[in-house]
Order: sequence, then C-alpha cells, then structure tokens
Amino acid sequence: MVGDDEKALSWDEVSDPTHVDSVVEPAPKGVEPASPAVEPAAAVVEPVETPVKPATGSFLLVSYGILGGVVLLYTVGWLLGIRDVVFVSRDTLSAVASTIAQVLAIAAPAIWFGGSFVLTRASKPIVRLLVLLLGLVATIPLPFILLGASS
Amino acid sequence: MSAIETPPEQPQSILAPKKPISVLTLIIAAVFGLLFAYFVYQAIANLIELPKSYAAIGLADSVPWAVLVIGLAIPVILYVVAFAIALRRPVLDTVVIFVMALATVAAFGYGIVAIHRVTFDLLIASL
Repeated sequence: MVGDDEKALSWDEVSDPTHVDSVVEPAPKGVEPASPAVEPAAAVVEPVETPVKPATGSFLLVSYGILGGVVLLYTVGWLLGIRDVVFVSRDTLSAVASTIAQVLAIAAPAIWFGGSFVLTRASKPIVRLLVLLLGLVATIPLPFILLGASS
Repeated sequence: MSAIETPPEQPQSILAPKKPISVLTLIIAAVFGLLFAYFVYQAIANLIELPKSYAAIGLADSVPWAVLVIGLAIPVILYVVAFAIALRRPVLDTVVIFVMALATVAAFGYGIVAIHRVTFDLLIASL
C-alpha cells in the first residue's frame, strides 16, 4: 500500500482515499499529522511582530465609532428635546435668528465631531480623543435630559 | 528640502505660534462676533425680563440669578476663548473653531432654558 506522501507517484487510484471507488477509508481530518512540527512554532512567533501598529489603529477606530454613536444619540436627543425650550418669536429677525440657533444646537454634536478631526489633523490621536470627549461634554442635550422628549 | 526641516503643521499647537495675525482672521472674528452678540443680547434680555415676571407673580426673592448670570457669561467667555485659540491659526481652523464655539453657545443657550424650566417647576412645587 502506498503512503499519502507517495500518492502523486502512483497510478493506483484504488488505494487513494479521496477516490470515489476507493476501498480505503479516508482518514479522519483531525488525525492527520501531515505538517512538520516547525510550522506551529513559526505561527506562534510570527504575530508578535506585526500587530503592534494595527492594534492601536483598531483601538482608535473602535473609539471613534463609539464616540460617533454617542454623537448620533445626542443629535436624536436634541431633535426630541428642543421643541420644549423654543419660544415663538415676535418679529421676523428674531424668528430667523431663533431658527439658526435651533439648527446650530441640533447640529452641535456633529459639528464638534467633525471639527475635532479638522483641528487635530496634525496632532496625536490622544489629543483628538480628548477634543472629541470635550465635545461630548459641551454639546450634551440638556433639554432632553432635564425635560424629556416633547410630545 | 532637508530632512531636518520641520513641517509647517508641527508647531501649530495652542501655545507656540509666532505667525502674525492676518486681516482675514480679524474679519472672520468680527462676523462671528455679530452672531455671538445675538446670544449675548438674548441673555441680557433674560436678565432684565425674567426678574420682572418673577416679581409679577410674587416670587421676586426667588429669581435664579446664578442661572441668568451663567447664561450671559457663556457666550462672552466662549467667544474670548475661541478668539484666543483661533488667532494665529490657518483660516480653515479659525472658521471651524468659531463655528464649534457658536454651536456650543446655542446648545448651552437651550440648556439654560431647560434649567430655568426645571428650577421654576421645583420652585412652584415647593410652595
């Protein structure tokens, strides 16, 4: 009988376990110790060097993602809460100004999020994260938190 | 270009810059000054009108002066801070800083109104 290593050298298909008509039972997958012992050792050594940089990158990406999610929640909070704290304006000028102020307040979390990336484009990631966090403090939707959603 | 030469973006931290203040920056600051002035005007109007309406319902002693004063201080302080940070930065950064400050002022403005609402409700409930 021909061993697995010599299969390519043989025309005898009956002894090939992968052959449909083979009389030989295919060996269970897990049992095959085909690869030499050097390979697992190399696999252990290899990842130590490479993932140092991508690890910080993915940490930052996850942080940006979480902060961006909070920004979205804040925006929803502003949309739901702002109607409770808006007064009907008397004249056109203050009506326009009030509308601008409302848009600014609703967009404030997103403005901080985008602005943080623009302003810290040459800074370290930690500075960017701190500016982003400061934005979350500065644009907290107080009307929604204190008064709840307006009906 | 030599390798030792520092890129122009590098020293643009909040403290280090040596560039002169451009006229364009001052024009931008003036335009945003008008927008900030609207919020200052509103805060002053509140500072004058709110005590009157409190007095009208016999609560002249319970005027929330701290909230009124904070409401006036926020747009003034944020304008000064934004101006100080934006002064010697590129034009794009200057505009971005003022827009961020203005949005924060607008947000806090409505936040102050919400705080007024809550303190007034607590005041009424305590009577």
